[in-house]
Amino acid sequence: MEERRIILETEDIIKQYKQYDTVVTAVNRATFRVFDGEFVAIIGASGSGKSTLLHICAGLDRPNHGKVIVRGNNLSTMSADELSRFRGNFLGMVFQNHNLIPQFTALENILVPTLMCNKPDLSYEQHLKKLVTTLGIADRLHHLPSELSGGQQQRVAIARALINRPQVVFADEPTGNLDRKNADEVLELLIQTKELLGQTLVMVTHDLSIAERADRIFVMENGNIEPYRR
Amino acid sequence: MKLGRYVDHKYVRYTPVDALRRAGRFLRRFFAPSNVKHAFKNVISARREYAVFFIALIATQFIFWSSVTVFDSRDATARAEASSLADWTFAVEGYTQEQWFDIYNRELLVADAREEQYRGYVSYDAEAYTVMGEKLYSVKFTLPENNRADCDFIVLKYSLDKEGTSVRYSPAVDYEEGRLASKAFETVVIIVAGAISAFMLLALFLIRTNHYKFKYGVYMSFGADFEKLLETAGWELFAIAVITFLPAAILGIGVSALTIGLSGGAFALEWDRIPLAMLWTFIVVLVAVLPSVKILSVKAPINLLKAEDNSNLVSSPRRSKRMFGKKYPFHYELLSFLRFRRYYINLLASAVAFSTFFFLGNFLSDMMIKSANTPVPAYTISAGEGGLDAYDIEELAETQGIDYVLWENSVSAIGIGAHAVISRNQAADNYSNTVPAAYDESLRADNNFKFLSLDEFMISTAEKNGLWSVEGDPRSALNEPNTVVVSEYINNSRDLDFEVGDKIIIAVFAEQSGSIDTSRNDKKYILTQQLEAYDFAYLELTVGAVVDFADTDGEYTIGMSPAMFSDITGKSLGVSEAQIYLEPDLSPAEKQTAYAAVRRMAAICGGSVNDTYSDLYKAVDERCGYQNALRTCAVAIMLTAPLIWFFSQSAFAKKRRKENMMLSAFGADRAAMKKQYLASGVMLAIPACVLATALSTLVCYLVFVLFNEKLAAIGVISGVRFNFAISPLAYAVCAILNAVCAVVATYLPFRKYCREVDEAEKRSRTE
Repeated sequence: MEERRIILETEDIIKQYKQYDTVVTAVNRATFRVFDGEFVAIIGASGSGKSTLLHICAGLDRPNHGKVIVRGNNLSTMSADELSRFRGNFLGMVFQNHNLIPQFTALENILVPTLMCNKPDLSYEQHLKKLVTTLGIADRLHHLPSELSGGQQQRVAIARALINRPQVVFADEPTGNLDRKNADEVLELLIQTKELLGQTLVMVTHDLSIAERADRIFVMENGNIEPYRR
Repeated sequence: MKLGRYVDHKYVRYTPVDALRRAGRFLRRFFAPSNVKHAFKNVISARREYAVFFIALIATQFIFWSSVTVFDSRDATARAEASSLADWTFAVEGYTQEQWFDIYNRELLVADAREEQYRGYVSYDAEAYTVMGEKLYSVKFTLPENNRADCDFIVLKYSLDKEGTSVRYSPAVDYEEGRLASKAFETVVIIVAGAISAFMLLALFLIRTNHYKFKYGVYMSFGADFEKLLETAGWELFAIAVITFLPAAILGIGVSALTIGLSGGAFALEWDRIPLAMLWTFIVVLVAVLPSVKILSVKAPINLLKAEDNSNLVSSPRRSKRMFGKKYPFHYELLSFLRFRRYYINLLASAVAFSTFFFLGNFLSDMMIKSANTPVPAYTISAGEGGLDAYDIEELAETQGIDYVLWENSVSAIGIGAHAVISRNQAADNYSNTVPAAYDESLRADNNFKFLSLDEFMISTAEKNGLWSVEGDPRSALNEPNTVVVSEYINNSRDLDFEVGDKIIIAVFAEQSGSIDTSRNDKKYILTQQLEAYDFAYLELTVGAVVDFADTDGEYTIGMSPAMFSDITGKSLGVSEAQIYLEPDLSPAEKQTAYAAVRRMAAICGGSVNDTYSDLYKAVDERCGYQNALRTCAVAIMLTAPLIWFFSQSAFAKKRRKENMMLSAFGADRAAMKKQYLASGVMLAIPACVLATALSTLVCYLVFVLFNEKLAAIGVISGVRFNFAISPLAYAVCAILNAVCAVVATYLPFRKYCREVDEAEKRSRTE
């Protein structure tokens, strides 16, 4: 039987915030693995630390302790610049609140990662067309985020996360602000693209029905992560 | 830029070749047409967002262009003035007939005949004059170039420097010789202007990156590293710099040309200033962008994304409870002031810094005006062995065209092993040259002074021309026994404190009873040695007057009658140097008459004349002075203070937009919110006024100490005593501008918010 390759591995991750006299432990010794091509969901109540863990795994934040290894690279030892380049080349991120740049059109927002990694726009044209058609936003590309609905904004955010063909896609409650119909559509799109591009998808959600679609589920509670038994 | 990279998570330093290759790659990427295109497109389409940078870059480039225009015009004016003053290159004064004929026949004619390459190189014109019945010659030589080295070569080649003669260089040669110092000064000014400009842009750029940190957070989330951020952010400013280059140049050159033209100077601008301006702007922008981008690049992107709305908030749950029982809007805004204190401190510091530059520019300009108005001798006579006596000086002073003559017959105390014994109170606290006196251990011994011979003519010259500030009667030193006049200043710093009627004791060397170490030049050390090894004769003297001689050096002065001077110093009464000041607005013929008299006197005493060309430099200062340019630049910098206020406050207001909406949702009416914002403006205006005044005064005082005392101590500035006085107008402009900016910049974004809310409401009603 072919051995599965580990694409993401965390070891004893601790993340604490100091708020005046109180120390809040958002992530407490989190250790888990994700295999290449897998769809993993992390569920948990609000404030359980799942978004913080996802940000650490995506290299957007640094842990106080522990290691994050993605594609065999230890993110904790990388310099800020090295980490930036790594994110641009191998990771994609869908934020819960979209984080679209309000002054940019949908198309410009989608192309931000290609600009950051100095990848010429032209080589991405086919991929872009396919993405926006699949995501159903082809006719909204020249609109500003403020002129798009919540679902459309989230689709633009997904297109932006996928434009560089990242190996690992991190999604932080991508359906959190959407109604059921839109939520289902967005999830379907993420799974579809994951299959199409052979990506790994790590998603944080508090909706168990969405998490049920994942290959494996982890549950977070008070900063601790454990496998979820279905 | 990094000097290494990570290989397998270990930091490896670049080899020089690697570093060069990497730099080349970066530059290729940086100057890629796509970057340039994006940057221009971005700043043009979002011109309102970048408006503040357009204005700031016009201001910074304006400073550059005004400065270089003044430099070049000053240069052209000085050259034109110098050429108009003399049509020769150098002159040799005081040849006897025999000496001149010898040079003419043996050197010049022979060279013309034999050395083809030098034929016609030197032209000369001899003028005869008579001193005490002897016929002397002044010969003016003209060379193709106004170059000191060429002059010296010719003097040596034809053995022109004979005994009893002196060489005098033309104003043009004198000016060209000082060009290196002028160039060094220009370079320093351009560097300082660059530093101020970079600081101004950095302050604005930090506000921008703080306001747009979300955008940069998104960039970094999707792969932007330091270099990419630098490309993105740097090119935005470069594009603006390119767009504003021409308008700023026209404005800067135009304003300077107008000022110079009105003062009667010659306008000039060198072509090489254009590439220099480009390079200067590039460096200034790079220096301004680098730190802010570096700060951004090391932050975790999630912090930039999350901190968008509360980046400047320093509230805490403990402080929040203070809200209970407080009233809206004043108490509320007072607490907001506390919550946002970090932001307000940054804002005040940036805005006030520019007021300080304005103050400083004006202060320096006033100092320059005082310096330019300080009389400078037109000629100095360095006397020969016999020196000049009082009759010679009087004769010179009575010559037509000569305003007055200053001279000094002095001896340093250290030179004759003498010292003064003074009380502790007579030395300032920071004066450190005194040691316990051997005469009386409770008193202090000091050798940092000089003995000066006074006479009636010197005192009346000073009185007539208002040269001294006197407390007491200076003539008491001449008329009363054992009475002296003293000064209190050393290198423009008041280090002594004497009163009329004080007693001081002069210790005069009597005999040596032990050996002393002469290996060190330290005055205090020498005095300590002398106190142990010498015997002294003590003479108690009374202070008859305290005189501020205005011109100070590294020693204070004890002035006395010629007889006492000779007794104490053992020196004859001959004067070794005299400074001749001319009357203002003399015609060239009158000047020539005055010069002939000075030359005659120098010949009589076997000395030489040095022409300082003070009228040339005075004319250049009047027509093309730095002070006007400095004041214009100070105003330009001052006008950027509103930029900081408005840019920062409008960005900040956007952050408080949600807060406004919440307040409105929970019942705050427009009138109350208006009061809240006005209160905020006033709360900012008060510290802005106080800080601007305090910081400006402090910085100006430090600069004053630097120029008046520190630079005077090392001889860079001498002869000018500056007063620490700041124009009340500058204070008023600074305080009013900051106060108005604080209130208006806080209130206007609120008005904009109200307008937008009204429009939105109107739209929704229509729909």
